[in-house]
Amino acid sequence: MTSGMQALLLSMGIYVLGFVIQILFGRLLGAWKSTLAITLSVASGSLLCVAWLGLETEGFLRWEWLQWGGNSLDLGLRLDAMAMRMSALVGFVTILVHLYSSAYLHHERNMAKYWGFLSLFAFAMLLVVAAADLMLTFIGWELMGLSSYFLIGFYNVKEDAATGSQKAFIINRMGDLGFMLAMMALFAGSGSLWLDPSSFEDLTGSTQSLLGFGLMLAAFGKSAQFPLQTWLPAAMAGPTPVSSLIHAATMVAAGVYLLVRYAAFMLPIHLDVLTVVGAMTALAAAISAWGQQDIKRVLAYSTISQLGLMLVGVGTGSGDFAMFHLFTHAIFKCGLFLSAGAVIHALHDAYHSKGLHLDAQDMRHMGGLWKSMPIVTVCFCIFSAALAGVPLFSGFLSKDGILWSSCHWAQTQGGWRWLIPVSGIAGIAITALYLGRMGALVFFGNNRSSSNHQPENGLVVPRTTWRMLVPLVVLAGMSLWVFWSPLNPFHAPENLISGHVSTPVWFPVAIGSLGILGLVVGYLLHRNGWTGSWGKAGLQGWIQSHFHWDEFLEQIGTKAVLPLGRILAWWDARIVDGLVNLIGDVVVSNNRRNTLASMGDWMDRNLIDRTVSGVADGAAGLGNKLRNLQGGKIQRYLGIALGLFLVLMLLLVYLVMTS
Amino acid sequence: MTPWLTILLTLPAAGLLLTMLLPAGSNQLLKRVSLGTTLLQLLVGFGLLLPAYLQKLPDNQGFALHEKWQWIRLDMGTAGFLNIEYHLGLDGMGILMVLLTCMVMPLVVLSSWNNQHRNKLYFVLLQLLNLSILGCFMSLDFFLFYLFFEFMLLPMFFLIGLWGGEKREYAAIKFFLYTLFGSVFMLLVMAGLGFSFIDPDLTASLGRTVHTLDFLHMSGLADGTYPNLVAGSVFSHGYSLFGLDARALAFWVLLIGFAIKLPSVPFHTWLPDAHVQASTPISVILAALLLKVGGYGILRIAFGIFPEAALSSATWVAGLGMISILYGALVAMSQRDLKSLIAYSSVSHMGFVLLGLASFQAVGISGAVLQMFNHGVISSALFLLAGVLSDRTHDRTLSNYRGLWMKMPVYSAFVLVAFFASMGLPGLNGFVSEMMVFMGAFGSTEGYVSVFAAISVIGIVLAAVYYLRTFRQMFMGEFSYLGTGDSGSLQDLDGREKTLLVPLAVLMVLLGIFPSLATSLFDQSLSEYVSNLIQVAKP
Repeated sequence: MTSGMQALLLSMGIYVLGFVIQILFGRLLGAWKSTLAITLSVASGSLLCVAWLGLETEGFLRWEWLQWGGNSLDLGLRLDAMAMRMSALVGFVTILVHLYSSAYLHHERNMAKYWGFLSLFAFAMLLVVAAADLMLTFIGWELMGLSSYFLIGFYNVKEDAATGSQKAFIINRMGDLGFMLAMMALFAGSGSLWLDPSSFEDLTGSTQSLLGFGLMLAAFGKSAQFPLQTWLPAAMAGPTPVSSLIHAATMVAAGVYLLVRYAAFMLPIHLDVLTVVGAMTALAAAISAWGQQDIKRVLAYSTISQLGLMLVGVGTGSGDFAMFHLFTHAIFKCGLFLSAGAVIHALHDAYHSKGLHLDAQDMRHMGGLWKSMPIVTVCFCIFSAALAGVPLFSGFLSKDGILWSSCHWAQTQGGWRWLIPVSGIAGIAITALYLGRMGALVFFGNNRSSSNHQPENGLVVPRTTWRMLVPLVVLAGMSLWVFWSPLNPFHAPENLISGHVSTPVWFPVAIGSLGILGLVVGYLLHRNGWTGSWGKAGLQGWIQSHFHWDEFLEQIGTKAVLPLGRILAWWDARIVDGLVNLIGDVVVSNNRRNTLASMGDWMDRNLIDRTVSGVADGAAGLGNKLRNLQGGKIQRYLGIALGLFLVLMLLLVYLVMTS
Repeated sequence: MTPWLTILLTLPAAGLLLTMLLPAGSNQLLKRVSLGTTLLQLLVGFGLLLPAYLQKLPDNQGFALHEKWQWIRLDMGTAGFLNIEYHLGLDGMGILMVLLTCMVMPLVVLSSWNNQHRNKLYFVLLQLLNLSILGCFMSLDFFLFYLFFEFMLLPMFFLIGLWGGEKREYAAIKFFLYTLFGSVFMLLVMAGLGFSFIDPDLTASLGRTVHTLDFLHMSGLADGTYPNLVAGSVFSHGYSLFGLDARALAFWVLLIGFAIKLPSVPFHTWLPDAHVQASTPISVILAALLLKVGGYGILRIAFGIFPEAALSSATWVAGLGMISILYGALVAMSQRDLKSLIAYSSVSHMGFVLLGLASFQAVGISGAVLQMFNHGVISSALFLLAGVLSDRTHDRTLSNYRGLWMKMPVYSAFVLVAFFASMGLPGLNGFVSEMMVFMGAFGSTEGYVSVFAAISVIGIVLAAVYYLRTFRQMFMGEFSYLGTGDSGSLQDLDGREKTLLVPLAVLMVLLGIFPSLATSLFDQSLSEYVSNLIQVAKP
């Protein structure tokens, strides 16, 4: 076993240990819960980072999981450069989120559950990252769904948290349907769940096709792509640090990671569908982000949009850039969420002390926060610049790569494919616009929380604690281009991207200018506190509700699936069971004139009472008790039943004798 | 050779006799004696029988443990003898079921601790049921099997009818008639089999035709022939009854008989009534053990004796499985009573057993057997959990509860584990068997089995929907109770309830992570059986 693998296993073990301790013995730990959680996450995360920087990044492990007659299903872990890098990212982000959570949630109850599932979340993501076969990938995949269910539903007393966690799990399960189909197809075709080029070539065309579509559907579920994207905004009901973890290194990243891992096993048709769905979702989600009033929902739609862009990267054959964007995005999106969390946390306390009953996440009441939270503001600007693709920031490098390779792809294949880079560029402009709007509404201009008569400085915003600032500053540093590519601000580093596309100089300049322009226009449009993004109310409604897609899906659920269940339940109770009761009534009726029943009575009196039950009850000495208790009713039923039995026995004997 | 199987069978019989000797009023003593004997059964099952079984594995006959004594030899005149034997055997198909019975029975007794009236009769019936269930899983002679199979009915009938809810008599008679309907037809098939197969060794030694009901003599050879089949008899090839192929007819008669027990849609409507009316321990036996006799019977008897009829009906069997999975899940979604929701989810989960059996693949059939065991563990926990609420408020209406999580956190944790295990979450046991069934059935080349498997996958989404909706309804939000029961009685689990639930929860996690703990017990002998089945069906 290589040293990298040892480090990976050890850190997985630490996460599992954290989970088990918190869930089983959390009550005994008292105030030590947070300390323990942070310690374990630091231990595990730094182990992973050290492994990435200094240890062997190759490794392989395979063991038998279950067996049937000579066959077995093996699970395995495979460590390579990409998996190691991703593991380090997971460990690193998890440390920051732990640190931040300890400040953000310091007054909450049930923290054992929170810390436990945060640990399990990281463990599950490591499984997905390092799994060598589809079964182990799926196990990690589902454990992540489980952890997200608990974390999104952390405030389970609140209605939106209860529905949000449920929606996240069920929609993810729909995606899992694809994953299971893919596994079934692969297993039926090759007798194993290990996918390699030689076994893939032996599969029939339809199996290959089903495999690809299944994995794609799975990724659409986890990475919140059309048509399954609606769980991500609903998942905003969870605590903000959880959102940052879900959006950065775990959960949504798993879908893209899976696609990159298995892109080599996708047919051209799969890649085309991937590209189109990604581009479409990216554009639609970016537009929706512009229309949100809730600070976290802007970021949720922004994530959906960026994941769409990564899918375009995978579909157009530049998985490297998709992974690179996944990394840079993980850092700055985590930062954006933590900045938003700092704002929400501060405003929540500020509103509370003022006795204001305002939603601390509604941007319409914010504004002018840069005065009280300067460091957060600076960090937020850095993250926004990175997301908007401004040169010298990390997002610029990765977005540039994906877009240029999509242009290249469109050029070689031609036709409708040119729509993809065009929509990608439009997406960049809109991304910059909503970020400009967000900055203008939250940090700049005048504060709008008080009514017009009160002075704007009436609101006392508390200071942000160091445990929340440290993660922000670290992430801000990592969102600069130097962290990713020390030498050339216009090219992605060689150690992250294998065969990189060399772009003509005008392209990055154009993309960068578009990002800057978008930010400025967005800021100017909204700097006076104008919160709407479009004039017309109807259009605003469409955009804010993400084109009513969520409502549409819910309608299918509540107007089609649930009624189908009710209809079938009615059918079951009335028709199927009604038929049974009808037959029963004919046989066991209280009406003495009914022939069958009177026959039963006759048998009851003459056969059962005297012989069968006499013997049986006599032996057990139970007869009297039963008779007294049920007034002979059960006896009659039993008599009829046994009578029926005897009649059939006679029939049988007759049949046998005559044959 | 120690006759472990007979020893195991005598334990409930001894418990039965002991209980009968005790005075009727001694409630505590009755309970302690029952708990003691079932615990002894658990110890013997896991501590003596299982090591003996493992030591003998693999056995050249496929049965690690095997006991056979001469019992009844009926002289039928010109037709020769009908030889009925006391023949017990334990192979991969039965081992998990026997162990499950040993495991569930102490839990059942412990969960009957608060039983108020007529304890003597209650525990006598419980032991009788215990005995017959164990007998079913170990019998290798059709007559013996049938005897045990029928003997399950009476105790169950009284246990539902005397200790149940308001409509207990209706539920009990319904259960009885339904099951009797199935078993009567099974009797017809048994009679036909009694004239169709001979015991070759005895025939040779006695010089007269000796008919047999031994399952082992009924199996076919790899070339598709049946060496012990009497030419021209009812179940010889080409014989037809009512214009139908007699073997196919017999297969379907047996299948329906066991599908009622399983239960499969459309023969399932006795189950929700029986569960809703039965008391908690009886529901546990019903779901965990009685239903399994159905699945076991299909594999051992219907498939074992008529493999080629089974293979040609695979599409239909898989279709029944698919319909059970989807129909059960959809109906479960709109149930108002927690117990009837679990009952319909049982219908859905037993559909996986049919689907797995229909796959005619080692992985699918292994999955079906494992699914029976897993469902036994999970449904025991689910019904015990439903019983916790019944005990406190006598009210299981879903919509009467809100926010139980705040009031009963430990209880909620157990509910979550059981719900997630039942909906097939990886890491818990239900997933492994469901996935094996899906993989096996999708790989089938018979008819539309693979298509039905692909459609059945929707069942896992539906399961998530009905369980999570129920959980949100009852456990999330602010606590409130809208029913007529006493909301002050809603306290968290006590020591006895935890004792019942902890082993089940541990087993769910353990078998989810290390499924080979269970599969290694049956793997070899079952796949031998399956490959033999396939060869006979497809010579």
